[in-house]
Amino acid sequence: MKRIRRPSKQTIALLNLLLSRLDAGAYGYDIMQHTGLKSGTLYPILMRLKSAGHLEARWQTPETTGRPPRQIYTLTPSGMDYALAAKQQPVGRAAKTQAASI
Amino acid sequence: MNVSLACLHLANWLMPDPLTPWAEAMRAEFSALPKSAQPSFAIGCLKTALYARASQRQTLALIGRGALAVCLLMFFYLGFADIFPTQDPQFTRVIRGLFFAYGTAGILALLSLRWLIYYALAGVVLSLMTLLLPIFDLSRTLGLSSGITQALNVEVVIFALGLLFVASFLNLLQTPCDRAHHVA
Repeated sequence: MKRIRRPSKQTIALLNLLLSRLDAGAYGYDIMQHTGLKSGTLYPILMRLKSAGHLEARWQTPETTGRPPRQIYTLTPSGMDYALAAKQQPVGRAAKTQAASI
Repeated sequence: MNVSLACLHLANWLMPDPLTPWAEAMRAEFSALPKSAQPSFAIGCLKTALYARASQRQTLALIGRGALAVCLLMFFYLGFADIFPTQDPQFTRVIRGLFFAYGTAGILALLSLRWLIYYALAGVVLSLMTLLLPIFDLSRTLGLSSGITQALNVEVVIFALGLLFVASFLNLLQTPCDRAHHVA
């Protein structure tokens, strides 16, 4: 199995949220509310994931009338693989112990 | 105009061209936020735009070129320090330290740009040469004739100018190739 560098915990929180909403996706503020990330942390992560091809951003008009369109974010197939692989990576000390034993 | 909106406009202005869609996405999100969440959101957007701008190649190149210019100024200042009225050694030391720190930061910024590697190399040499200056100072204290010291300083400045000229020329040669590479 190809090993990936474990993403930051903020990225993992975002990936987990998007994994749980594969079809519906999530708006920026929605993500901030559920993950506790600030906009200054969230948007750079979104930019990185999108430039890596793990994220899709599309404009969507909210169901409530009179609201301007907003961007909704969903994982791409490669993003799903990335999120699942990141989930399986050992955390902290366990990762170091495992790496030392290899 | 309130502060949040001003921050958002500033973020929009600062955001590099390729990332403009992200600025639009932030603005759209901002309009959907409750009033209480808008200030911290706008500050976050501004932070994002600042980071994005600072990590742009052009910005890094600007810092690097500025660093080289400052290095050269430092050589002029220190090389011809004798003709400047301020001869406070403490002041000279502080100026030298500041210039050296800024020069090194600029060079590190440049080293992250492969296409400007010649500037970086020139910068590294210039920075190393700043380390030679204390030796010249030492020669003064050892009582070597001021003519020799002055000659050494002039030599350093001429060498630095020559180096910068060569670096600029190599950079000019390299930039079109690099552009072609990036377009491809």
